[in-house]
Amino acid sequence: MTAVTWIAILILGPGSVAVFVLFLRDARKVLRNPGDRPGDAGRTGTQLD
Amino acid sequence: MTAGFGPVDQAIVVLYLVGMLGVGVLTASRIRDFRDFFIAGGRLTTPLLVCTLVSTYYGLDVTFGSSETAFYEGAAAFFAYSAPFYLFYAATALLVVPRLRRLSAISLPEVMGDAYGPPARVAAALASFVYSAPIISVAGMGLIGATFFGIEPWLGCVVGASIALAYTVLGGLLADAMTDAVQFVIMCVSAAVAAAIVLVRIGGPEAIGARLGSEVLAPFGTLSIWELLVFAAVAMTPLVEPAFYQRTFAAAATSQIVRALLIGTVLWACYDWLVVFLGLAGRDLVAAGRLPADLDGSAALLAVVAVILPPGLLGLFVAGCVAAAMSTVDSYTLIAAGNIVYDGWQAATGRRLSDRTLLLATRLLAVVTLAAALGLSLLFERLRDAWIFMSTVLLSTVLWPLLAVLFLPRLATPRAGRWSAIAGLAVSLALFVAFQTIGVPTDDESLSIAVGLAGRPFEVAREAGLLIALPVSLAAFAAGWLADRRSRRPA
Repeated sequence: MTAVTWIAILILGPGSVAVFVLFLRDARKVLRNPGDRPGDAGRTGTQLD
Repeated sequence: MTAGFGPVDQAIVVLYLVGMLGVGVLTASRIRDFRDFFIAGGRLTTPLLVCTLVSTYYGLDVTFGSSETAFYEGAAAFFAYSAPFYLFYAATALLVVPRLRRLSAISLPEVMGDAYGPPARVAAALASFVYSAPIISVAGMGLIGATFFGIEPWLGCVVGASIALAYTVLGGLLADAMTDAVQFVIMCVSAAVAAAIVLVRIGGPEAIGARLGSEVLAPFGTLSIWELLVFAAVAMTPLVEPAFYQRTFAAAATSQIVRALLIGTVLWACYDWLVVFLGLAGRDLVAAGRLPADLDGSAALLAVVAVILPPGLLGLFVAGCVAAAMSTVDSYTLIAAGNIVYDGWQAATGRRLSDRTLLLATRLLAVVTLAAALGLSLLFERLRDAWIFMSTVLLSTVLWPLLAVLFLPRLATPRAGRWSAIAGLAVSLALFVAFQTIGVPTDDESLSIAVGLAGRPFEVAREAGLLIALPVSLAAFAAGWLADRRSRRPA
């Protein structure tokens, strides 16, 4: 169980940092205003008005 | 205030809170309509989805609740309570998500409404509201404020909840997801660092087991068969989790959310194990006399890190706890308020609200949601019990109707879904009221009612409500389906 604990520490610590780095790479794309991307017009979902 | 928690630690926590507000202001300008506000315009990618899913779904209910369970029950907290969830996370990713993505809804109650009509949508919105009201995380922020800043618990609740509310109201799901990303890395890294230091200082689970007795490492501990059944049933919650549904609709593509849930499952398992380990460490330190003998299980985790971690790292860990709480408070407040306005109000009145009204009403209702969460948090002694109550209401109301919509659409007839949702909601809430009013306190700080069955007396615990409400909901579904089938037959 001690070995499992070390493995969990190594996955959770460095693993979460790796995911966060990938997030930073994507953040600018995601933060772009709606409608700026060519694909934004495609999926409209539920229309309310 | 905890002695080891100095100005550096406090500065780290305050810096973190200011940063969260900044993100809210930054994203506020990106909100143009309700779809932007509620599902971030449907443009979230895998890394952001991993961050927001992991940090949202795991709040202080897991951080303090699992360590509390481990403190009392040992490693069974992981094997009996957490482990069954992984099966259902994977099932949600591989079976539920692809089917949900084919629908045009943006919320769980809307899926119910599209299939079964407005009454089912209203019932689902109410159940989702009860489930999503961030009871435990709001209470947990009060505990953190009292433990580390020496302020009254209610003030800690109000300050923490107000900051989460501010950036959520400003930027909706986008601000929520962006702040979740920061909160995700803080909560994961702080848990990993704390566990590593505790592991080095007091030894691993085997060393703790050698000191306390091997039963603390037994997979099912001292849990009864009924408790194990309740845990297994509660583990089905991911199949109908409102936050999972919201993020499924907010994903840029189906593959992105499937990948995110599978990666999240691995991270959740690691987080669970480390938190359980820290709860075990709390029991070990009590036995060694380094922590008070009357230490409450819900405070075990904070007590362990306050004793073991050096200044600076203690601040990081507390910021991690605040992050875990806020990422849950913001997401679920948004869902609860959105469900009541977008789903409950529109379905109950039959009126479609304009985007402007939806945005305004959802933002206002977010305040009401947090106030309700604060009030509900006072009704539960143990964190896990609050979580089981919330899951009972949600599962009893929507599990069978949603499974039918997704997997057996032939059975998804209007009366089946409507009757099941209304019966499930009514029975789960009635059971809760019955336990609160005529239940008697049990040894483990729950409530129970004595009933006679076949001449023998039985004690039914409040947590077993799910095992009553879920079959009732299934029976109502079957009755509704039969009624629809009969009415369709030619005379």
